Amino acid sequence: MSTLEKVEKIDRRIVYLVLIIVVAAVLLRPIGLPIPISSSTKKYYDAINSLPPGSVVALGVDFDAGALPELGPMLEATLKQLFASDKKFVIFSLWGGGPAVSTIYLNKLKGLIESSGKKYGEDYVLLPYIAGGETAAAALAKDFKNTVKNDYYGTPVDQIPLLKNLNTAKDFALLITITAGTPGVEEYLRQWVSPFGIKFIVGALGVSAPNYMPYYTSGQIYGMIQGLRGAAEYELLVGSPSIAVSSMDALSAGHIVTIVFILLGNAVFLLRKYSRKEVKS
Amino acid sequence: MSSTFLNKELPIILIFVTGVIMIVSYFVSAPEIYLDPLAGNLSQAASLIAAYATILGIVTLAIIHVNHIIKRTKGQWYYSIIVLALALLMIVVGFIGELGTHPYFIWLYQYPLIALDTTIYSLLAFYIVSAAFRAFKVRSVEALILVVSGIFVMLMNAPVGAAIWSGFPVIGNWVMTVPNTSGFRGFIIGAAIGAIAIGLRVLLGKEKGVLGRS
Repeated sequence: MSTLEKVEKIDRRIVYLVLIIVVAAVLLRPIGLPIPISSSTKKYYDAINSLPPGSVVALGVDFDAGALPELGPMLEATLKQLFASDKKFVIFSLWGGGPAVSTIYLNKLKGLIESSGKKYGEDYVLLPYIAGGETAAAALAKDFKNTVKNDYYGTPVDQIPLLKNLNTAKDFALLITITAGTPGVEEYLRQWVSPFGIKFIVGALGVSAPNYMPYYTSGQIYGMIQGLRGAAEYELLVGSPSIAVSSMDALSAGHIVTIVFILLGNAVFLLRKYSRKEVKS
Repeated sequence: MSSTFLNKELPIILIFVTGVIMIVSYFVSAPEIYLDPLAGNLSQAASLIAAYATILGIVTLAIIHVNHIIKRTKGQWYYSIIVLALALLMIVVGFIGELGTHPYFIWLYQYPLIALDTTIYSLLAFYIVSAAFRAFKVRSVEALILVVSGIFVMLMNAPVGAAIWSGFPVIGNWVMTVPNTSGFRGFIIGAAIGAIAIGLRVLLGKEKGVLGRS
């Protein structure tokens, strides 16, 4: 077997090992590359800041355990921005794992919540999982507080002051979804944004963000956090760099390794192709 | 009532009536003829049916795995025991106190479940790098455009791209907002037209699969 053939047929475990070594190296010795802020992340941040005091925000936590490494930092930073602001918000979920994920981050931010002075039931509420996907989104938009009978902790909704005047999607100033897929962006666009004209911002996985670009460029989505890179930008805007920022060097390393292997694979392929042509001629 | 009416015509009538109510209520607000509250109630009913379907899914899954255990399916039956035992654990702990709020349930979700779920997803990174090396070969002009635009988007996404050359984020952003957006826009419009066509067939009872017939 020639050298080129050996490289082309390299054991995939060597590829895995190179990736592990490079990513581990930058995690242990961070480089600290600067992170420019994109306009879509800035618009997400500004959408919350620009709301009048006392506005009520609908926050859809539409992901579960698998997407937590990428979307969890977005949720944490969003909660930090909301708790530090003078806005109120209602957390709900069209995904089964959403309430558990929300509880994990609310527990994590206990100290911040206490120092913010925000009270559960008056300034923020956590609702349970609502089954049905798009029909659940439609039900929430048309008749919000009659779609769920209790909050996540079992308190009837008519005993929760924040929910008293929330009847339809029109009663919210902003809709946020941090979503790993379906149900998510398109369902909210069809059932909340198009019929009620509510402002809509999105936190999306890196692989999903290209799918939502048509909606972002047309203005249906006002601001968007795109993947872990967007989460890092958002953490910097909120003033609380955390796990997303610290993951950026590993992200850079992983991307460089992938690009190097793509270029190496193509270089070997083209060299073998031209050496076979020379042999034939 | 004949079985043909119950099995075929009644479901089609129900589908048509509820479909028309939901479509009309989406475009027209008419509380004076009870349209909006009716549409809201139908949405909530659908949400309830979906919740029952979740329970049905759990029961179906349990039946499949119990069958594997009873038949001692080779290479499978011991995994079925693990699946059922862990599912039962989560269900029992979830019922302690208010549904799914007990600290033990949150602990089980946060530590074993999240760790295992994210580990499975993180394996994708290794497969992608290996597949990129083996399969991402430039055999045509289209493949070359795909590779080049993919590299620019990757370098737009990672901070190292801007550190190497300021043009990477600019070109990567152009790829995302112009060719990518136009391609996806065409796909979305095409899918929406297809969905309208299928929806009309379902409303008019022309779509056989909806009624569950083979």
